Amino acid sequence: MATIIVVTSGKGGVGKTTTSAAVSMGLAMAGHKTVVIDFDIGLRNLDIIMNCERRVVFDFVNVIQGDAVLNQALIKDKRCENLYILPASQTRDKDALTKEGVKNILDQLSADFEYIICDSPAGIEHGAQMALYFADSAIVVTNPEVSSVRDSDRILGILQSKSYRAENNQAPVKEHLLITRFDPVRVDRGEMLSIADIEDILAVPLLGVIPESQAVLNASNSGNPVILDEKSDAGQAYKDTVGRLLGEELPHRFLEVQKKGLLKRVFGG
Amino acid sequence: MNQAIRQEQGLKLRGRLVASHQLPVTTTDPDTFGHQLSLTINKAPALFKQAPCVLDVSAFNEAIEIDTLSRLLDICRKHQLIPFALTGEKKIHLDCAAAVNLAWLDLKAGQPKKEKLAPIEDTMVITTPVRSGQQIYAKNANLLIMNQVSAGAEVVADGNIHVFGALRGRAIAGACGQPNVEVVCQQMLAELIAIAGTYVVQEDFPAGSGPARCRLDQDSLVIDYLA
Repeated sequence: MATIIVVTSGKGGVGKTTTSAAVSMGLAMAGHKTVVIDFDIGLRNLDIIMNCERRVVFDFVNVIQGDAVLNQALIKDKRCENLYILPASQTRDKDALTKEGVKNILDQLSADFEYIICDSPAGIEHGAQMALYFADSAIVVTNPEVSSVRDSDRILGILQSKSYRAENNQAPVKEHLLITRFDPVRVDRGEMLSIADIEDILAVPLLGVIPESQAVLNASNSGNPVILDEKSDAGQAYKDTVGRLLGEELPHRFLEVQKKGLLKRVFGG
Repeated sequence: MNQAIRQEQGLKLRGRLVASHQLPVTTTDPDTFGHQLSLTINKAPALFKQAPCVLDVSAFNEAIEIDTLSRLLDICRKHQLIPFALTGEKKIHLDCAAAVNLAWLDLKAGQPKKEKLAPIEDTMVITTPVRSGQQIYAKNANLLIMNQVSAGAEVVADGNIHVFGALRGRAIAGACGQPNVEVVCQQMLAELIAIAGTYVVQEDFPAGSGPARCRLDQDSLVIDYLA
């Protein structure tokens, strides 16, 4: 039986797809057979970040509507044999998703995979609700700003009231907080919410903190999940995050302002 | 045959609302009254032509003399008004109306009846956080929240609301009009507090922080910080 993890946020542009790519790659590299599903029907992005956009033949909606079987639509990652991608349709809209269709696909995937990562679209409408409906646990991605935190709070409410687990009185969806684009310098200046503030408002256990990093944009453009960039702080932070997801106890890093050395001060950097 | 039916059935009554002017009578002096009346009528003569009107005598604490009243009615008729009823304090003026052949209208009849408030007997307990966009309503009950209420959430109760955590959303106590209820919270960061329809928004909160108690004091909402 696979664990279904939804990566969600409410707000757009906070790093859901980046996180889905990094976490699914991290889980696969740790030896767990993982599939990542792009629920953002109509705004297909995950395949670009996973560098498999030229290999998409059939997609999620094709499988739901019976035009293709699941194995035809699954794309095997070239870097890690444990990782598969189920891309979204770019030409349909989110109404193509039905509860029965999604359940059917998740049931099939559950037989073969250990982890199913659902990359949710932004918003709280049908597409986002479909992505989180069958989840066992959720990674709520939040930026250190008030509107993002407010939207995450809203999505947490939906997780606890409109998910399959909530509607059938099962154990609630397990919540994890992932703070992305964190910049300790701006927190010190009072321009960003601190981690303590966010934890206080959302009251959800902290899974990880991903620092604001140039490496994330580079990774997206080159189609390599940032977790593969082991030299970057963001890559290391995602690696820690995956470790914690698998039950390891790791300290949070990159929370303090890095002191610049004398040479860096003189020559910049 | 038709005639037989007619005889047995009598009149068919219909209840209908009729618009009429209510003239507040503030003086018993015929000249002053006439002057006031013409001033009013001159503002919109067409409105008062052959218009039914009710004399409101609630300004008087004693019964008006029948002669005086008749004179006032004559003045009304002279101005082409058709007075047909009297209204005011029932005990004092009811007989006056009968004496000048006018109907009696009960002032209270038109006002909505105050519904009897259901007693608050139950308590609703919420243990999970109340998130943005969620709404909780404790009908005929107190609301006890053993967690936080996020910004953008709304907690409503007919009785009291107690929040054992931070209150960042809206809290509406006494939703059916019960004034003797309170909102108490561990950390006062609410967007809005309302008790029995009286509300205060965050901008107008008194300075302070921490645990707080909100209650009604003679129609104004008071927020006391407990720390």
